[in-house]
Amino acid sequence: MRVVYDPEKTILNSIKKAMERSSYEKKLLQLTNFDKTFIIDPIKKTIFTFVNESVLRPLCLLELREKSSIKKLKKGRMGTRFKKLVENSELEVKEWQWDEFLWKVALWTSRGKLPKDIDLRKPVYLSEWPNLTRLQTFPYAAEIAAIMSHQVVTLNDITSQLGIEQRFVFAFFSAAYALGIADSSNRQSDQLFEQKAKPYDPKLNSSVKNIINKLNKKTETPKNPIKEISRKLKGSV
Amino acid sequence: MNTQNILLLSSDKTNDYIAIKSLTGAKPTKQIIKESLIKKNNLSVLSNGYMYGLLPVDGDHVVRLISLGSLGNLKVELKNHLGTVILLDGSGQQLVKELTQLMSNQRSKYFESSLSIAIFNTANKSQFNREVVNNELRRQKLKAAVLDIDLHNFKDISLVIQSLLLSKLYCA
Repeated sequence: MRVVYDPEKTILNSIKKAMERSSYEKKLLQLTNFDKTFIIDPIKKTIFTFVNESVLRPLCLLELREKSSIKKLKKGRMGTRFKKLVENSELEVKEWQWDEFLWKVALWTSRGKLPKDIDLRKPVYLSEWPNLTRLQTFPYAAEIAAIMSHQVVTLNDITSQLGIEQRFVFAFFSAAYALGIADSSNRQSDQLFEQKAKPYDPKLNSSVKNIINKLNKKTETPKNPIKEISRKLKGSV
Repeated sequence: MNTQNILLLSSDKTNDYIAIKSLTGAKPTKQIIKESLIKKNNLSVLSNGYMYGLLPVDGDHVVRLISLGSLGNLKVELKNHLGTVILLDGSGQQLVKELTQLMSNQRSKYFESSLSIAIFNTANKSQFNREVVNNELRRQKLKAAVLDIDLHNFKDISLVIQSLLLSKLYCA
């Protein structure tokens, strides 16, 4: 199975480029790909979408062959075009923070794969933690963030250190890479003196894991308590 | 009983109070500091006591969340210290100043092993706030998770504590 994808030919890349251009020109931009419109606001660092996630998600997997259409929105949020598109739209309008949107689109695009230019043999780094309280979470995201921000290790090292499937590590890396906070390290020193995991401390390890398990158990509250209780009762019979 | 400690710092103790209550589900209590908590016998700075909340983990393991507010010149050295959480008010105009003041008042030792920074009241300044705090951390050569939180949200506070613990576990 192929474990890499080409980010150049994705809608993710088109959106990122439009965000960069919008930031550079300090202008609201209207981007169109696959007949779907996005409005990018460089001041508030938000992006408007006009389709449901269920429509957007499969688009992330398609190869983008067409040229993206980009238009400047005159007078920004005050202009008639913006008002027509956003305020008077009959479509499902949603305004996202850039990071929140890029993270999600990168996860949909990656699906556990890795951008093709990333060399698995090179160590990776995380320049800062992603804002995990406000981003789509998935298993082991915090563990991977902790390892990547404190150790200079390869993605394979992370997979084996945590004993998890590589798709989680690749998905995290792809999403953090899309935000511009993760990359593979090209510094010679990092490759010469790879910082492996610190010596295993069984006492600390078990203590920390117990606390985290406790916190996670407290987080798992049933959405519908009555349904949950009925389900448990049924299961016990 | 195995008791481990997490330190909470903020410019207003009310914030610590809310965070502790959100995490433990109970109102924090106030206690005069005991010698058993600290390594060195220097109690003067804490003579007014401290506020804490307890997170029971299992029968003989408990995590104590200790709020010191912005107490200056803290000279005590906590036993079984897992890490420090700094709570910052994102609505303030001088986030970095608040952060550096909180940090300079404390022993740098508290930040070396494990540190997480939680920013509340971020509204639409989230990205900007996180950027300035991350830049300041880089300047001070410190590594920490910087996360937006709602002080009343258990999940948010829980993730901050988890980031702290995981950093402690995986720091090289």
